[in-house]
Amino acid sequence: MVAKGDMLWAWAKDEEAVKRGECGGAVTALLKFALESGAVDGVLAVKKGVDIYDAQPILITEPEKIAECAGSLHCGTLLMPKLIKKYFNGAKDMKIAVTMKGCDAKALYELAKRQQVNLDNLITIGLNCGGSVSPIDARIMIQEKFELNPDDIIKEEIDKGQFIVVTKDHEHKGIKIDELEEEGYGRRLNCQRCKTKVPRQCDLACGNWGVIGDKAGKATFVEVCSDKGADLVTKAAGKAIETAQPAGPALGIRSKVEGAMFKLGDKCRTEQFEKLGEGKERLNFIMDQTSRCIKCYQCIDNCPICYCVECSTKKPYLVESGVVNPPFMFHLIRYSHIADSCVNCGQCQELCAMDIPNALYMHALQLEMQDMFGYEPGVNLDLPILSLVEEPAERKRLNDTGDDQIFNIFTE
Amino acid sequence: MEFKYVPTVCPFCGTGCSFNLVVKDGKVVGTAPFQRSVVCDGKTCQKGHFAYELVNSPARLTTPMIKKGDALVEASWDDALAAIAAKLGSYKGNDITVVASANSTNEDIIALGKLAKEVFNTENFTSAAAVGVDASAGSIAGIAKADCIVAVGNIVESHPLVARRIANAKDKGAKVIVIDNYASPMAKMATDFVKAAPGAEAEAIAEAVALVEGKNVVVLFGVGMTASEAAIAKAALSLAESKNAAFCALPAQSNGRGALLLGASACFKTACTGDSKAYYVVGEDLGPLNAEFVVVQDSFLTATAQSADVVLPAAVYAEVDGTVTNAERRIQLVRKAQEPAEGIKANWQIVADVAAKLGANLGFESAEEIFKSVYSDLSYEAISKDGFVLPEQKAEVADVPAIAAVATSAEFPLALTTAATIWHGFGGSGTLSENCKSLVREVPDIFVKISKEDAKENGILAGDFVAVTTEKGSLTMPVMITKDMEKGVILVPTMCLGEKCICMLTDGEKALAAKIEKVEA
Repeated sequence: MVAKGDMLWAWAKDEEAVKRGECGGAVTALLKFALESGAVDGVLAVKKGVDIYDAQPILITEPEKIAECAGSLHCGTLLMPKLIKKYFNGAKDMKIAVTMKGCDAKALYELAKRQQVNLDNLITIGLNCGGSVSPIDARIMIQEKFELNPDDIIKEEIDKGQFIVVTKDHEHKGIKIDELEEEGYGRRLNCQRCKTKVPRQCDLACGNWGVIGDKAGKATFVEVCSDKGADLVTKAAGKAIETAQPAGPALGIRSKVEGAMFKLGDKCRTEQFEKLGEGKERLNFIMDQTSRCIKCYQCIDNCPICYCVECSTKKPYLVESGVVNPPFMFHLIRYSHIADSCVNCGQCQELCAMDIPNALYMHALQLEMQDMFGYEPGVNLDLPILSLVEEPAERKRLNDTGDDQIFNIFTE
Repeated sequence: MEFKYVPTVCPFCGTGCSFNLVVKDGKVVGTAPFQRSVVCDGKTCQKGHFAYELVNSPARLTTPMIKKGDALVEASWDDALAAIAAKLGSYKGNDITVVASANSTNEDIIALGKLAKEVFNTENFTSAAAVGVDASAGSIAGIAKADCIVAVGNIVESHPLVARRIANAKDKGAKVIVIDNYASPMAKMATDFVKAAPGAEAEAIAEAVALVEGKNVVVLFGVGMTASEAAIAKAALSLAESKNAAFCALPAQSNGRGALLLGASACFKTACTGDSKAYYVVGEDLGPLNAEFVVVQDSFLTATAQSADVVLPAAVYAEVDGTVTNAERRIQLVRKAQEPAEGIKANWQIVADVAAKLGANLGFESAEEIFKSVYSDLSYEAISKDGFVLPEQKAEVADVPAIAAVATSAEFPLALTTAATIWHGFGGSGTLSENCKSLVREVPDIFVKISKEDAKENGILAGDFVAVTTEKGSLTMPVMITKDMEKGVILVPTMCLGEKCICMLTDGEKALAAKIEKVEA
């Protein structure tokens, strides 16, 4: 019997899952078990596309096809929750087991608060994430810094502060992430700032941090974060997976790894935010950067916080239609609607056709608002600042007083 | 439930960005980033972003049609092919003009080229990319490493993901020299802006030569389809040659480069305005054609299709396997994401069927076979990741008369210039964009940009409609009043949407004298 809060080592019973999956294949085995046992109708996970640099989402409904999603891809920069909303009707009529990084987990919570996804129908398997690398940047890095042909790489991983690649001749080469990132290579900038390394918002948080001794590389560390997660592990134990209590200093090592990642995250935040400047300087910086915008709408369509059916940026009285470059109002609407709940997933920057550092700016705003109002997005199901005010009551107040300060919570 | 991503290449401009088509239960329902793209890193402009919307547009053609009296009437494939064979067989050689779509695949163009040359025996094989400019040096990613870039025209709107690379270079300290008719998004990115009066682009380019400095210089020009393209390209090429710079003329169409490489290169203007008795048009909108016999293969009922004697329903990019060749000569895979509806066939397949009906065997069963008939050393598998970059060839620009600044008059006091808009294409690309509802929602009509001064002088307010008139024609459209235009200069984008086409105003000229008059909407 496993309970919420438990921590254990787990590995697959099935040889195939051990071989294809990472760290003993526990995640692959759990996903397969969830499907086989009827706990879910489908598994939404990530598979290799044209090569290891291409991560594609895949919906698996037949247990025997689970191997397609086994193994990790650090060049995958997908955001799963928005896909669940867009293409799976928010899991409102289908039970899905889904794998998630920290940013996915936070995005899922924010979508759930906005009633865009049904958490009851989801089993979320969190995957520890030290950060991801954009595919083309990864290839350039491997070519230029590792001096290897990116097409010869069969596996890449981030471990012990290094980005490690394995060639087809099974040669390993690792370079310190610090060193890579100082030279402009390495993880996505938002990943560098991220401090959600173990996604405990999920039903289970799985990874290799804290697996030591003879189990190192052969078992997955599973942190049981909910009753739903406990139920899945309890039922799967002995059938799909074997478990053991973490031995020796495993827990200490695990929190040390996480602590080191936090420290690195803090360092990156300081460095990156410094470049933004403060106050007017910051405003000028972002006005200059956004002046290049071509209004492709990728930032909006891929943002996990954007969910409005009637988007304000498409109202001609706010943003004149068809004008390129769009007026700054376009960006102001995005900042004001999203910044309080931004989960730093990085999509708005990664997909920006003109490489505007949208996520950097939005994340900086979010952290300032967090200091002011105490709202931290994505960590739990507490509601965001904007929901502190009831819309009809607020509209009445504005009408009655002639005030134009919406959500005037400063004077209350 | 089936759910998958299918990577493909955008059907709009010549940049060749990729995206994933999101396929749910056999139907294309969206686009998603393809971060693995070596051309665009997963980024696209709005046309790419919304390109999925045209795939299952209700306006898609699904049945062949034959003209009976004045109307097109639905027909079977057998009857349609028989009607074509009965008529086309009676024309000889250059009596037939064959127009390829520079937005379709290499395979479609190769097959059509065989039909033109081997079955029809005509030299009139053309495409909208054939405007006398054929130049492609350097690479798109390489632009970011240049220390000096000369951008001719508004590349931000004609080739947005190329402009991204210019922005990257500028961020690294490169000099960005822009030659344009107004304070366009491209001009706003400039470190040095040389404003060209409409018609005087070549002069302005010559003036910009003195500004060029650096070791790694790139000259970029977004090709349109006006009579001035070659003259402007000639000036840009001459600048590039004098500064030992790479010159890349970016085709407006997704496979413009492929169309030129595969011989659909007879002068487009001559071929389409000549005295051909019959036309065979694939996926291009030339407006209504007044010829003895017209066959159209298209996915939508274009103005050309409406004037045709036989119309054959063709698959769109998302329904075929094939390849396209982008501005930097990169051949990339287009992949079938959904089956076309019953009755719709791939363009190359239709061409093969027509040839067969005329008694000729083009000799291929699959798209890849056609591909290998030209690129025998390559395979789809071999180009599935990064594509394949063809070697550079010497730039060729047609000799054309010099251009000069528009001469305004009392009757036509304004200088009208034309340029690409990011929202819509023209010709065959325009057919595609007008079937993407998000692009139409944003820009539902052709429009004119005018200065605040001209607006004030003419009593025009935002939201007003004006009649724009030149000696070639007149069109009514909404105004966009902007401080980006200077007094006396107006801009109408090269686009066609619904009943309105830029050609009704300019007849293929890039710049003309014009007047505007306020009209009631």
